[in-house]
Parts: sequence; structure tokens; C-alpha cells
Amino acid sequence: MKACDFTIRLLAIGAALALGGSAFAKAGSSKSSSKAKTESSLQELKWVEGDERGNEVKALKAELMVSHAEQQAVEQVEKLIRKHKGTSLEAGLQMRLAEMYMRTSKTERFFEIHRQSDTVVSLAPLRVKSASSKQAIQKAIAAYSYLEKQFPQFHQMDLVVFNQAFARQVLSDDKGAEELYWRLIRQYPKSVLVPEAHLAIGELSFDRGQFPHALEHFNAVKKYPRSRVYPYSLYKAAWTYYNMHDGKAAMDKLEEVVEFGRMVRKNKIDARLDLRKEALIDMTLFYEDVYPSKDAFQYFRAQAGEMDVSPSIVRLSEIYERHSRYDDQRELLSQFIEEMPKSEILPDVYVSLIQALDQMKRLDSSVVRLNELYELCQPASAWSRQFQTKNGDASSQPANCVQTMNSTALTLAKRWLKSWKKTQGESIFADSSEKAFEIYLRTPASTEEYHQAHFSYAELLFQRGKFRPASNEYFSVAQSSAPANLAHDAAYASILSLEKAVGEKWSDEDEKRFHELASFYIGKNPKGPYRLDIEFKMALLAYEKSRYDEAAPIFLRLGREFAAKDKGMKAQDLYLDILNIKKDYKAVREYALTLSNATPDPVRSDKLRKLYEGAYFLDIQSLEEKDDLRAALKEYLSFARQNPNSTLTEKAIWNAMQLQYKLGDEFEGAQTGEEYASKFPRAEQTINALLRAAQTYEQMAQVGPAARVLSHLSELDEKSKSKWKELAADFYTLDGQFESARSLYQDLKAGAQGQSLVDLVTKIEALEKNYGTPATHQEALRQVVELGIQPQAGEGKAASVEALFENGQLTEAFNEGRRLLGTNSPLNSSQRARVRFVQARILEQEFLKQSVKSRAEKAAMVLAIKTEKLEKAQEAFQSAIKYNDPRVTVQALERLYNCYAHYVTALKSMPTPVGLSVNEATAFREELQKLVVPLEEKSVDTLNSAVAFAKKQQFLDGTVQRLESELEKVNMRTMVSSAPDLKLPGLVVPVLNEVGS
Amino acid sequence: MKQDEIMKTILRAGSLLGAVVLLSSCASSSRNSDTALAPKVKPTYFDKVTAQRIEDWDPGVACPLSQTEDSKVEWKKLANLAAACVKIQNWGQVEKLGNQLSIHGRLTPWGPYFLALAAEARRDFPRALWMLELGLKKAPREGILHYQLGRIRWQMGDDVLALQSLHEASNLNPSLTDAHWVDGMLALNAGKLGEAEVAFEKALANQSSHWLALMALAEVKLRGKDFSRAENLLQRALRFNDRSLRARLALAFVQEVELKKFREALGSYQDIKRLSAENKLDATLNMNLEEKIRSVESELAKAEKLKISSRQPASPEGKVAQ
Repeated sequence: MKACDFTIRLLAIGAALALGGSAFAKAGSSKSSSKAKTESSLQELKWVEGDERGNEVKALKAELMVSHAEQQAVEQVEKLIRKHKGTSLEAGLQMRLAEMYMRTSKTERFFEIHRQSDTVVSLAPLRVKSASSKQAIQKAIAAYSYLEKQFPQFHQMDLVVFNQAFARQVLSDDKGAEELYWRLIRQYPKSVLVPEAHLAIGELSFDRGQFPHALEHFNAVKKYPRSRVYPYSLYKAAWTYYNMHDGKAAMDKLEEVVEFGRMVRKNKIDARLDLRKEALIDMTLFYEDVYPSKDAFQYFRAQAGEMDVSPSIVRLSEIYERHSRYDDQRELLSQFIEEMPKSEILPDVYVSLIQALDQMKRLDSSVVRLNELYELCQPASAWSRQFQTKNGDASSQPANCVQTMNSTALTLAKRWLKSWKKTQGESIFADSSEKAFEIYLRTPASTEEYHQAHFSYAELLFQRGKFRPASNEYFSVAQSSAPANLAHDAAYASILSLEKAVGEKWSDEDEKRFHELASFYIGKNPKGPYRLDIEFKMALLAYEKSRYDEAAPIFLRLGREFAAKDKGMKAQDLYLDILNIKKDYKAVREYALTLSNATPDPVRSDKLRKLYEGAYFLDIQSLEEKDDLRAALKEYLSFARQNPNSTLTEKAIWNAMQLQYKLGDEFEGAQTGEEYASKFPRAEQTINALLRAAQTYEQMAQVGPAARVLSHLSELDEKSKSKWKELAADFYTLDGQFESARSLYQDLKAGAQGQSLVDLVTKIEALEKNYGTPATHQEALRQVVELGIQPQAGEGKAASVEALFENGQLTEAFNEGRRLLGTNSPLNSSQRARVRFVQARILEQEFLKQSVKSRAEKAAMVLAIKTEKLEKAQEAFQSAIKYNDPRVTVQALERLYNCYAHYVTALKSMPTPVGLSVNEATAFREELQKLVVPLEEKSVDTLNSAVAFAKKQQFLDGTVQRLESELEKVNMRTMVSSAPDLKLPGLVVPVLNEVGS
Repeated sequence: MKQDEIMKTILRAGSLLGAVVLLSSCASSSRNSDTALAPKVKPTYFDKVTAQRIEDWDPGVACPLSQTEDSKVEWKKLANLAAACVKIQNWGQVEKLGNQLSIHGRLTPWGPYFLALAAEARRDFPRALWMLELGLKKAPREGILHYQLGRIRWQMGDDVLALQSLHEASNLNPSLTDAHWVDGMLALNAGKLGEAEVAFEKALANQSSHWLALMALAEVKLRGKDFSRAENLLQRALRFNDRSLRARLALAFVQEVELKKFREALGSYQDIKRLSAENKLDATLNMNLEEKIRSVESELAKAEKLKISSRQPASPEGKVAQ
């Protein structure tokens, strides 16, 4: 319920009470007390602004009071009707009763309306439920009908008819109502209610869309220019024309209303009849269809007369705007601005004009107008000055102007910005938005909106690539009282914009500015999300200008504090780079290792690990460059141990090896070479490493390790596989690892042929001879013989003959000797000498075994046989001597001497054959003596020859001494000689006391 | 097949060193690989080395019971320790110390030398020869190595080469007494008395008590008819080996036959008789000593008689003229 309605209702109560008061004068104790009560009640029911529930309760109370009063009044009237039934008073009372019902209907209507109100329903549920305005009106109609029927001559019958018509109209009984209005017009043509009846019929027809019919009745009122409804009928007629699409007629009618209004005002008639204001407003609606916009301002100024034309212009402008006739709107408002430069509503007109221009996409004009508006709002403008009071105080108008201007500027700036973003490229939007923002921002403010706008302006500049001004604007926002988040973002954006503005090359000036902005950000936002980025950039700038001492601690700190972030990692990388530039490889190495261990990212960890390894390696190389080779060696080895999987480990081990050789740690160098080959069997330098190791071990008499290395080498160096394998076998032999040697030789033999096979079999034979068993040697010899390898094969054959002899297989030995000494003998002279010597030994044995005991008659034969065997042995020994083998020669001579000596002894000791006389026996002995003497001489000569030959040959095995001793015995004398026997000289050790180190 | 041929066969592929050096130099492309391995200062490992016969040598240190693990032991000390082990024939330790010396004194030949001695002790002549060859590569003019090479060849029956090595050793290292002696013996057997004397004198210059040299030099003197000198040498020889029957017989013979010093000869024969009876001689006597003594006594008597008959008047001092 509105306040005015409520007041009316209170007055109604008062009226009811007053009625009641008159009716029940006796009922009240006193007039004054009743008045006081009424005033008190009215006071209680006074409306309190803002207290909706309270007001609702108060309204309810008032309505209940009214209802109660009305009920009392109705009861009172009904009581009176019953009392004056059939009298002349009854008609008046009935009229009163009908009016009371009509009034009651309003109260009922209140309760009906408030059926949805919890407050009202909860306080008066029954009353609300039973409320019925319709019922009250129907009662009124019944009362009016009764009156019309029972009292046809009632003097206010035209009023009865009109009120009944009105009541029926209220109940939407338009037909009944119209009939009653018509009856009034027809039966009571002189009634003052006729114009109202026409108006009512016109309204009913208008509502039904029966405009011509309506127009007839509206025009019918023209006959009653003094009627209260006259101007309204004109007004309605204008609207009817308008609905009949006759704008011009409508305009004419409204012009009549205006004219009538002027007359009313001029004649100071009831002002309620002056409908110019409404007409001027509605004229704007009809105007757009009838007249051009260029004439509008003048037209309305003319129509308004002494009245303010502004509302009409504003109204028309709105209509133009609503109908998208922006150019017309522009025309209208432009004229207004021109014509009414001091209009109070000028700012609003400007706004409308600006918006119209905006709608017309004339953004530049819009901005121009916006700028004009800004100027208009300035305190110094003529427009603003008009609002200054005499004492200089400013009214609210300029402030409102500024507010309006700013609001418009900001709205447009934002809209244009949005459009620019949407269109992506239409610079007019961006240009206009930028200017609008600029205009808006001319008026400093500390509102969030202002800061936000300022930020948006900076954003726009930034987006338009105007980075330096953007940076400045951002910084302004950052320095302002903008909300923390905005200030923060602006501070960061100012830095970012500067970065963008500068690009790649930073002047000292720019860098100084950057530091200023960065310091501001960090100072205000010590824990700001972009602190990392900003500090990183600060350090980066220093880094790029080679101010590493300045950049390094920042990168280091950022890398530590923001290790998990990209920039943090980048800071770590750059710090590493600085260390690298400074060639502080030790620091690079330590830092990279720390980072590698700390990061959870396996890829980065791996990358850092590689860096660590690289730095570590460079660090070691720097030691080398400083000639600190011992330290470098230690570090290379340490590197290889700590980083077994590094790609640099190969190089580290190689370098360590080289250093060891260089430093004289040859053995360690060889061991490292082996390690290198073991770890990197396919590396380019592996074979060289092994070769060098083998060489070194060999030089150090480390035949075992040398064999091992060569064996390894044979596995890797496919090209020289056999060569290394054979050498390995040789060294295994020297080291006493005969099984390994055998295995390798046998392997090689399996695939060998030609000279290689010969060499291998020869080696195997030598191995078995020196270190094998007789059986293995025999087997080796068999292979030598099988292959016919000389001189080893011949050696083997000679040895086999010697073996047969030693085993007592004399016949076999002799025959084998004969075979070997035959034509095309494969043996060399020395071997032949040995074989022949064996044969001689066999013949010697036969000779020695031959007894000389015999009977007399067989003595000659026995001697002949013995002599013959001697000759055979002698021939064989001499034959052996002819082969010129020194050993065989001296042995053969000694054996010959023995044979001769034996023969002499045998002859001397030969028993005298049985059957000889003394003389014969003497003669026999004399004959034997004749045989003995030359043989004795030959025996001694042979021994002498043996001694001489032995001496000449310088045998060191005591042969000479033995033969000389024998010669002394034969000569039956003691040789006096002090010459000691030649013997193996004693073992010596070096005395190194005076040797240099 | 002779031992040296075996070794030659084994070492036929001994171009290893050369091959490796060649390949190594080819592989010296990296920054650290091209440094010459040769020491910048000429080493003095071989200068002033003297040889000492093991039986005459006092090492001054004891052979360690186990191999020293200290890699920083100076190579000369290692060599001394190895020699001490040679002295007591602890060949296992000799092998280990020789091995260590080969590594830590790699530029010297003494590691391979001691390894050769250890190999010789177990009659592993091929290995001994290889070690000596290696030593000679490091010190080609070190007589001790040639000497040991000669000894090994001697034991392998390679007489000619053995003597060549010993002769070379004698020439290269004056302190090799036995080498001089062998050299002298060869000259003596060849009848080159002058050469022999020079060699024996060299031996005696090193060791005046070298019995063999004294005996051999005495023989030179005997053959050269310098009997007094021979007698003197034999007497000296006996001072160092009084059990030598040969020396005593030679001395007695020279005194009796060449110098006609029957009294001294008789004394010498009587000494032989007594020592033989006491079994204090190094050989068995194969002669009739009683007869010899009687013979010498007879000769002495004759000589005494002759001496008395030709006596001269006494000098104013009453002393008999000599």
C-alpha cells in the first residue's frame, strides 16, 4: 500500500468515525475525549518509513477500524431504513446505504489484496477469509436498483443511475454499465453527469478497440467546454486518433489540449484542467511519426511556451532512441545543446547524444562529445558557474555532472574495449576506449571503480603494444589506494610492460626504472606470486650485462627458494652458467650435484647429473692445466668411481691411465688400462689401452698380467686375434700357467695351417719338453714328426732311436737308425751323428760282450771275431765322428778309447788256450803282446785326441777333466797341476749402495 | 732342441714390445697421451753397481718373512731385501720381491734379475732367460746380467754362448770376480798364459782370497816356469783353503821338483800325510805318499850332505851366509 492510499484510508476512518459519532452521539462519553481518542488512534496508526511489517500491521489496524466503523455505519443506516421504511427519508437512506457499500467494497478490497500477506492473515484470519469487495459492490448495485425501482422520482436519480453504471463498470459488467450510461444521457440530457457518461462510454469503447465509436463520445464532450472532463476528452480523442493512425489529427488534438491548458492557466481556472504537461509528453510520441527531427526542438519549445521544454526533448530523445532513430536523436540533442547551453539537464543530454553517436558507430564524435562533457563539468565552465551560489559554494550539479560524465566515459570505455577485443583489430574501438579511459581518469578518485578503470586503461595500452605508457599507468595504479589484489597485479604488470617496452636491449636508464618498479613490487609484496619472476629478471639483467657478482647471489637464492618452479630451476641453471663462466668448475660440480639429488624430476636430475659430470671433468682438466697431475689423476679415478654410468667416465679412465703413465705409475696405468677395456670394450681406444697395458706389464716382467691382457685383446681385436692369442699363450707359458697356454695353443692350432701350424706345433713341443710329462712331450713330438717339421722332426726321430737304445731295444734301435741314415735322410748332420753313435754303441756292446775265452784250436777264430766286432764298432764311431757333432765326436773318441783299452785288457788277460805247450804258450803270449802294443798306443792316442778335442771345444760339463784324469791313469803318472776344474761360476748379487736412485 | 732355441721360438713373436710401442704412439692423439715416457734425466740405476758373490756377501738386512706390502719402499731397499733372500735361498721371497721390484723399480733391471735367479733355482731356464733378456733391454751393458745369462746358458748346456756371455760380463763389470776367473780359465786352457794371468789378476784384485784364481794363477806361473811365484801363490791359496789336496800336492811338487826345496817339500808331503790321516783333505790321495816321503827324505839327505861339503867360513858376525 502506498503512503497516499494509506492517508486516504485514515481520512475515511475519520469520516466514518465522524458519521458514527453523529449517529451515536450518545454513545460517546464526551466529544472532547472522543476527539482525543481519535487523535491518539491516528497517532498510533501513523506510517513509519522503512518499517514494512509494522506499517502493514498499522494498515491492518486502520482497515479493521475502518471496517468496524463502516460496519457500524451500515448497521446504523440499515437501522434507520428499517425505522423510516416507506417514508420519503428512505430514498435518501437507501442512497446513503449504497454509497456505504461502495465504500465498504474498498475496505473489503484491502483484505482481498492482503490474502497473500502472512502478517495480515495471521492477525485477522477470519476477516481476510470472509472479505469480498464484489459482494459489497453487488450490495451497492442492489441498493441502487432498489432505489431506482422504489423511488423513481428521487431527485438524484441521474446520480443513482451513474453510480450504478459505475458500480457495474467496476464489476466488469461493461454492457450493463454502458446501458445505464446511455440511459443517463437519454433520460437525463441536462444532467451534469452527461459529459462523464460520454467519457465513460468513450473509455469503454476505447478499451474494446472501438475507436471511431469512442471518438464520437470523446468528441461529444466538446459540447461541454466547462465540464471537468473536457480537456481529458480532448486528450483521449488525440489518443483515439493516434490509435486510428492519424498522427496529425492526434497532434492537432494535443495541440488543442495545450491551447486549452494555456487558457486554463491564463484564466486561472482549476489547474487540474491544465493537461499541457501530459499533452507535451504524449506529443513526443506522436511527433516522430508526423514531423522531422530537425524541427523538433523548435516545435516543442514553441508548444512548451513558458514551460520547460526539456522533458519533452528528453522524452522525444528517448523515443528516438527506443526506435533506434539515433541520427534523429543526435539531431535533436545537438540542437538542444546548441540552444540550451545552460540547461540543467545538459550533462544528461550529452550522455544521450554520446550514446546515440556510439550507437551510430561514430565513436570519434562520441569521444569529442565526451570531451565536451568533461569540459562542461569542470568548475570553471560557464555551465558549472551558473550553479555557484553567491558565497561561492558549488551546488551538486557540477559534481553530478562529473559523476555522469565519468560514468558515461567509463561505460563507453569498457564497452569499446570489449568491442575491440571482440572484433580484434578495429582500432577505432581501441582508440576511442583509450580516449574515454583517459577522459575518465582525468578526474582522480580513490574508488575501486576508478582503480579498476585505471588498470583496464593500462591493460588496453598494454594490449595495444603501448608498453611504456602502459607500464607507467600500471605503476600509477600500483601506487594508488587500489585494493591490494589490483595494486599487486598492477605493480607486476608495470614491470612486465616495461620489459615489453624495452625488448632485448636494456639501457641503463631502463634498467634503473626496472629496479625502481621491481623494488616497489617486492617492497609491497614480499610474498607476492611474481617475486620470483621479478627478482629473476633483475638478476637476468645483471647477468646479461655480465655483472655476474650481482646476479649470482640472486639466482642462488631464487634457485633455493623456488626450486620446484620453472623460474627457480632456470635460476639454478643460470647460476650454474655464471659459475661456469667464472670457470669455477668445483662450484658448478657441487651445486649441480646438490640440485640433481634434490629434484624429483628424473629428466632434470639426469640433465643436472650430466652437468655435474661435465663440470667435474672440467675441474679435473683445470688441475691438469695447472700441472697438478697427481691431483688430476686422483680426481679422474674418483670421478670414474663415483660416476660409473657417466658418458665421461670412459674419458676419465683414459685420462687417468695416461696420467699414470706420464707420472711413472706404469703398473697402475696398465691396471687402469685393463679397467678401461673391461668397462668399455667397444671404445675406440680400448685396443690401444690394452696394448699399452700389455707392453707395460711386459716391461715390468709381469708376464701373468701381460698374458691376461693379451688374451683380452685377442677377444677384442678381431683383426689380430691370432697374434694376440699366441702371445698370450707365450706369456702364460713364461708365467707357469701351462694349462692356459696349452689351451690357447691348441685353439690356435685347430685353425692354423702352413707355417703358422708349424710354429704352433713347435711351441707346443717346446712347452711339453720343458714343462710337460714324458707322455705329453712324446705326443707333441709325434705331431712334430707327423708334420715333418725340421729340425724338430729329425730331433724327435733321433731321440726315439736313443730312447729305443736306452730301453734295451737294440735291434729296433739299430734298424731304425739304419732307416734314418739311408738315402734321403731327413736328419741333419748332428742328428745323423747321434743316430750313428747309437748304432756304434750297439756294436760296441756286441764287441764288449764278445768273450775271448777259447780252446787252442779256436783261439784264432775267437780273436778274429772279437777283432771284427772291434772293427765294426770302430767304424761306426768313426762314422759318427765324421758328422762333426762336437758332443758325439768327443763321446765317440772316448768310446773308441774304451774299446781299444778293453781289447788290450782282453788280450792281456786272455787265458792261454788249453792244450798248448809251455813254449807254445810263451809264443802265444808273445804274439798277443805284439797285438797289444800298437793297440795300447792307439788307445792312448785316441784318449789324447779326445782330451785335445774336448779342450778345444771348451766343454763345460767336466768332460775335459774326466778325460784328463783317465789319461793320467793310462800314462801311469800323476799330473801335477794347480789348475782348478772349470765349474759353474758362483751366483752374485748386485751391490747398489752407491747407485743413484 | 737346445734351450736357447726354445726360447727363440717362444720369443719369435717377441715383436710385441715394438708393436705395442708403435701402436701406442699411434694412439697418442689425446691431450695426455703424447708425453714421452722416457725419463728426462739420464738414470744412474746402473752406474757403480758392483757384484758380490753371494757366499761372500753380508746383506746387512734380513730376508723378510713375508712380502712387504709397502709400495713406497725404495727400490734399492727392495733389491737388498731380495739379495738377503737369495743369501738364504728363500726363493719364494726372492720371486715376490723381484716381482715388486719389477714394478716399483721398473726402470732398473734388478727386478727381472732377481726373478731370473728365482727361476734358475727351480730350473725354469726359459723363464730365467726371458727375465734376463728383459733386464738387458733396460741395461744392455750391465755385466751382472750378462754374467747371469752366462750361468743360465752354462746350465742349459749351451757352452759356447755361456762363455761368450761370461766373457762379456768380465769385460763390462770389473767386480765380477768369477767371470774374470772363467775368462782366465778359458785362456789358460787355450794356452794363452798372458791373457789368463791378466784375468786371474783381475779376479784377485777384486778378491785377494779368491782361491780358484790363486790356484789358476799358480798354474799359469807353473807353466811359465815361474816356480817361486807359483809356490807363493799356492801357499796363499792354502791359507784360504787348507783342505785342498790339489794345492798341497802342487806346492809339494813345485818345492820338490822345481825348486829343490826338499825340506819344505818334505814338510808339505808330511802335512798331506797327516791331514789325510785326519781326513781333513778335500779329495782322496791316489799316490804312494810313504814312498814319496822316503824319496824326498833321501833327496834331502843328499842335499844336506852336499851342503855340508860346500860350507863356507863364517862371517865376522859368526852368521852363516845365506
